[in-house]
Amino acid sequence: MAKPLSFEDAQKRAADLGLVRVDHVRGLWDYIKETWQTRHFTFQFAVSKIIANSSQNRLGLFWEFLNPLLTAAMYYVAFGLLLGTRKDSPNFIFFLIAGVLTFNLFVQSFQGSAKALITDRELAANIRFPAILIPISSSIQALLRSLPTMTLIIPVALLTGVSFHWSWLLLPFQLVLTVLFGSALGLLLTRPMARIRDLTEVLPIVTRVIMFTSGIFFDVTTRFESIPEPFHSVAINSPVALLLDVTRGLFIREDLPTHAQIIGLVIATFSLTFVGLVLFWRGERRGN
Amino acid sequence: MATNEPILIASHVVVDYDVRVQRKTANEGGNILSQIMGHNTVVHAVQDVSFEINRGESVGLVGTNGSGKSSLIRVLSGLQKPTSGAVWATSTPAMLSLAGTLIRNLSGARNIRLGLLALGFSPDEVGDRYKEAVEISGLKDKIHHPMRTYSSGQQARLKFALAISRVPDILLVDEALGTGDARFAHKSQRLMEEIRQTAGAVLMVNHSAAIIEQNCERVLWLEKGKLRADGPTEDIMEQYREYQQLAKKSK
Repeated sequence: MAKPLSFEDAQKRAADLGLVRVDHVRGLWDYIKETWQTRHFTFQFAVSKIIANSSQNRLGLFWEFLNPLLTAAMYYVAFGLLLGTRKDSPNFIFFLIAGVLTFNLFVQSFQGSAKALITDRELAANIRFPAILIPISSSIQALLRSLPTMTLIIPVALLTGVSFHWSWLLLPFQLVLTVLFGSALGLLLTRPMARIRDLTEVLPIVTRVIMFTSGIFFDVTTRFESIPEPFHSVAINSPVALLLDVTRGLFIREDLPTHAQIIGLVIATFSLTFVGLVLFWRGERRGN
Repeated sequence: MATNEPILIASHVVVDYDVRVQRKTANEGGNILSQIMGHNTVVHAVQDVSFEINRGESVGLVGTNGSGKSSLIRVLSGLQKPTSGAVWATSTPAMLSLAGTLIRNLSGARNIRLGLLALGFSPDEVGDRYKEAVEISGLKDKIHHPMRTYSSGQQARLKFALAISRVPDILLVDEALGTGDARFAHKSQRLMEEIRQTAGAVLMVNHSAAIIEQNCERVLWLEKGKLRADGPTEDIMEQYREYQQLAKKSK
């Protein structure tokens, strides 16, 4: 066996021969371009996972409908009746259902994207594509899965006496915004969580904190009135609380947040998505 | 067939792993806290390995279990960064196995479509390639059954059919593909021959000496993470067989 070249000489030889490093690192722009090129796979992977999961469960869709209804019923008794939050909204039943459905969509996107590299670790270990397609695919799954249950909101609105308004048609955009915000927030945790598994224990706690502060079963502006600043501003401008109110506001005008709040929410969502993307890409460059 | 034109250069590749070790049990003298906490230790999987592969070569990679073959392959295919050192190539070598993209609860047919997209085919191209892959897999009607109902031979055939839809410039063949019945083995042998002619170079991993001798003209022998030998198949395999015999006796 001949003595191997020194690393520097090998490097020079490779460059002379026009060879490239197999683990070469992509720039951010190339990373985004490549992610876009893999879109067909990303979408099909999401669809395939849904098919694979629902084939296991015969009443799959039925449970998806029953779950939010039962949750809402439980909140109605515990918070609406016993703690009296029922008077927070003139149409508390709709208020509650819209809140539960939107929050569920947020949580599924958030947890799905945060855990993506753990759930699909086999795929993560075997593809050379930008790994970000894995959390993206899980967000697409969350969005597609929510579509049937989200339609519940329409009969509930009609049954509780809300009359049709063109703003109902904006619901799909609101769903996309919710998924995007949840996924972007999750994306900040995706890599750290795959590296330090202990963080998965923290996830349900974080979720619960968000749940109790976002006003699923009470109105944040009335209930948080008495808490001191700056906590008050934080609580009433929390993005998740705003997301819930936007869904409700499409149906019941009184619940709609201010224009400034909505614009802030959209800007926050897009900036968070960008920050999440950059952090994720940087992690991939460093190889963890 | 082999030329003197390198299409892959591996230089001083080192792979270390941080592994969490469970501490001694109580009767070995560890206290309960240290048993639970464990500690980290470094495993040197690949230690300073350098070699070149020329266009047209088919090279075998041998070594006993735990010799570092898998780690080296993962580095060559760009799936893992080496701790130090580097690998350069004309294009990133691709594995002839697709474990990650297959979903057990999904039919073989859907898995093939998904796998073809994963290989980088456009949705239009997938249509044509799909028929071809189903044909090669020989799964017939079974193709619409969920993959979890497949025998390991059938699974191997599906993976193989998928993998050869796109032959890369540098092909890495891992041993998982060895399974399957005799008729399929013959079929795959013929296809391997074709692939070797289309691909720029083939690197084959296997701990069965016979398969390497049949397919490769040159052998890299990895032992305890170090490159122990690199040379013509006949010479190296003779030494390797002797080593295996000795290892068996000492057990």
